[in-house]
Amino acid sequence: MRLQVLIAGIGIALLVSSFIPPPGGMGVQGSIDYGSYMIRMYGLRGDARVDIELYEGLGISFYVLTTEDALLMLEERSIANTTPCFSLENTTEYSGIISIPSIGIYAFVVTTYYNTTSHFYVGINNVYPQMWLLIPGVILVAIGFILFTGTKLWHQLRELKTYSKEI
Amino acid sequence: MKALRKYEISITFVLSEPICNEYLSIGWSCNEMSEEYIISISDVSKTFNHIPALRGVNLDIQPGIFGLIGPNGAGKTTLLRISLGLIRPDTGLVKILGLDSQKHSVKIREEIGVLHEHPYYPKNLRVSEFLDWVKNMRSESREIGELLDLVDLSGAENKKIGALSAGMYQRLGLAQALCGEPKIIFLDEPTSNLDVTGRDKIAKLILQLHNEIGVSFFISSHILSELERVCHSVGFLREGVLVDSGKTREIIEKHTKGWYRVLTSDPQALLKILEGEPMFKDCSTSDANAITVRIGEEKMETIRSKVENLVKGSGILLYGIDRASSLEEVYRRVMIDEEIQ
Amino acid sequence: MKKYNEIIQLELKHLYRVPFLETMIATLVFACLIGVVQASTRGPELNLYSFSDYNSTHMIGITLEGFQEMTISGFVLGPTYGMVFIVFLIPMMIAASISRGFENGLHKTLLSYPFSRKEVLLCKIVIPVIALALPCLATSFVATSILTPGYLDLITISIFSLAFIAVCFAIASVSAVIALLSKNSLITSSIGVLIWYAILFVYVPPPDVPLLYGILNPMSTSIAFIMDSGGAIQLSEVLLSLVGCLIMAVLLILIADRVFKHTEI
Repeated sequence: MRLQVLIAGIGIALLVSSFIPPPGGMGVQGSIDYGSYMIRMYGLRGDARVDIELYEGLGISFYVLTTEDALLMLEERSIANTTPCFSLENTTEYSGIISIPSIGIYAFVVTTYYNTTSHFYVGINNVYPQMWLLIPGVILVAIGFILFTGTKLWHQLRELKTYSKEI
Repeated sequence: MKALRKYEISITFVLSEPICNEYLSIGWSCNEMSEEYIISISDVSKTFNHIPALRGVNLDIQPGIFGLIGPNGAGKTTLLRISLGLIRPDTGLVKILGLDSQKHSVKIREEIGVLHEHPYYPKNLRVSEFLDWVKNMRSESREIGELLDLVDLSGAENKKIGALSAGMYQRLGLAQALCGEPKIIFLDEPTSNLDVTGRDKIAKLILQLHNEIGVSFFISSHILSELERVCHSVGFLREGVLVDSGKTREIIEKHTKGWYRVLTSDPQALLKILEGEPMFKDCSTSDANAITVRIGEEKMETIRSKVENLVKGSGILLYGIDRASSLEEVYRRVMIDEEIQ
Repeated sequence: MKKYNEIIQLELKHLYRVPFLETMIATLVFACLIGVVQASTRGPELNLYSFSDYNSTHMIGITLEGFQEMTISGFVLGPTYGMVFIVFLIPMMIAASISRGFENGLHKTLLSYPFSRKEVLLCKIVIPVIALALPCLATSFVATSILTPGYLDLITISIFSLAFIAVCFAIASVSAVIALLSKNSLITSSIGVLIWYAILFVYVPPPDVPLLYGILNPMSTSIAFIMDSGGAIQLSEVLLSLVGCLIMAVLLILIADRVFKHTEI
């Protein structure tokens, strides 16, 4: 009984946390020149909403790299030999959802190919509910509920059997 | 009076010889009355915030059913709590089954059962769950069903403790006290919140348990009628002082010798008539339908005819005269005498 | 051991009955998960400027350090978030267990059975600590292992776990002493909660951490050591605060035992 309730409880905890954004935000903002890179690395487990806004300059380029590609990029100081999960070149603004292939740490890289300084803001937010928490949460709640109901039914059947034997 | 011994526990009965022989025939051996005390209270005093609750109480209790009598605030519960090691006495010593109640409290509790005055049992547990838990603690114990049968709680196994009536709750208390076949069971006001039927059942149960299993009881109560029914010996406690103690019948005999109750239709009128007669001393109205009088060494027939002669023509009806030999009468004498002293 | 087991059984059935304990654990799992997820949003931040000399090894080193920091932050932040609830839950459970026992007469009942006062008290203090602290640590460990890329070394795990458990014990023992002295569940829970919220949420930055603060809040000193803020806190200081906190908890438990032994029931 306790185990079933605990499983369901943890499932509910996962369910609720799938809707709650953690404190603090992700993103990158500032100024960037030609040939510079600004890299931020975050753990992502689902799709992410990206909002790009250029305050000044001609345009920035935005890439999302896996950890391996990020380390390769740092090794070579260039995006050239990497395979970004998402890329957006020479953009002034963007708002959309990008698909993240799997749970992991991803690098968000901003650069510019123009010879002017660009002032920008890139906001990165998880898309809620976070499916990597929601799905296990639902499964655990379902398991807990099934076990709980099953146990109750089994007890009732056993009582009925004892009662009918007595009769 | 002979002492009977079974399973190493002495049980004292006040019996006539023919009844004693009947017990002999069912395999009980007879010995002279054992002098061993199961509870020994020596010079126990206790004060709470400068108010004395107990003052130099000395009491030795033999195996059997003992009743501690006293009004509210006399110190009965305090004495019980000291005996159980729940509070420490300021002075004195209590020994239970030969063990110091303060130093060997845990060991004593392995051999006793307790039913407190306002017991608390976890209300969300079912009766069987709780008794199962108590049973697991004791080294030997009966099955739950057997325990519940004993206390007339069969059918209540799956009820939550919080859903029990007052009587069932009290009987549950008795059931948990019986777990482990204790040598002594302490009962503090076991029937205070029960109706007449409930009290009667508990009293019968106590006697039955003592007779069948041989367990001794220490009952603290102010309901005298049932104590008189079940107790082999009693003690009177008033304002922390043990006024008197001893075998029930001896105590009653001692304090009510020469006292009689005259049942009448008009106690006030009868009182006025008898008060003037030298034969009838210390007359008083004891209740709405009787007066009590103290008379010297006289036969019942003499007393009856004297009273009948006195009330002839007065219109007062007489319903009967009997010895005022009850614990209630003793209580009045003892407590009033103590007050006067 | 059997007697402890019996008391624990009763506490689990009576006080920590379904679904109270499970709800508390689920709440702590939730809090720890939020903490670990938040830590994973604090990854390495690198700026590669066009005019600067570039050292790829150095950059990769910083990145890997950042991953490690993310992992350690996750492991530490989870129970820290959980502590927000634990500071409230432990005094409340001690109040319900010890103070309420005086109010409703359960102690009278319990001490009519062959349990010593020490056994009863120890169980009532230890149960909330084990029941609440272990799920926090377990959740953090598991979540950090899944969600963050670094590794947790034994020293980090040991120091922080011990600090966390020591603080939980300290909260429980202080609450127990208050419970035994006041015999009032409201006073126990409110003072217990307020004292520890005051202690744990006052932050004294290293390196000038007073010894008393370290003893009362070894979590803070161990976090400072683990996160290695310029080597400001030494291992010896951490161990001193850990041991000091454990000794304080043990002393308080001994005091509580003494008080309970002389308490009239």
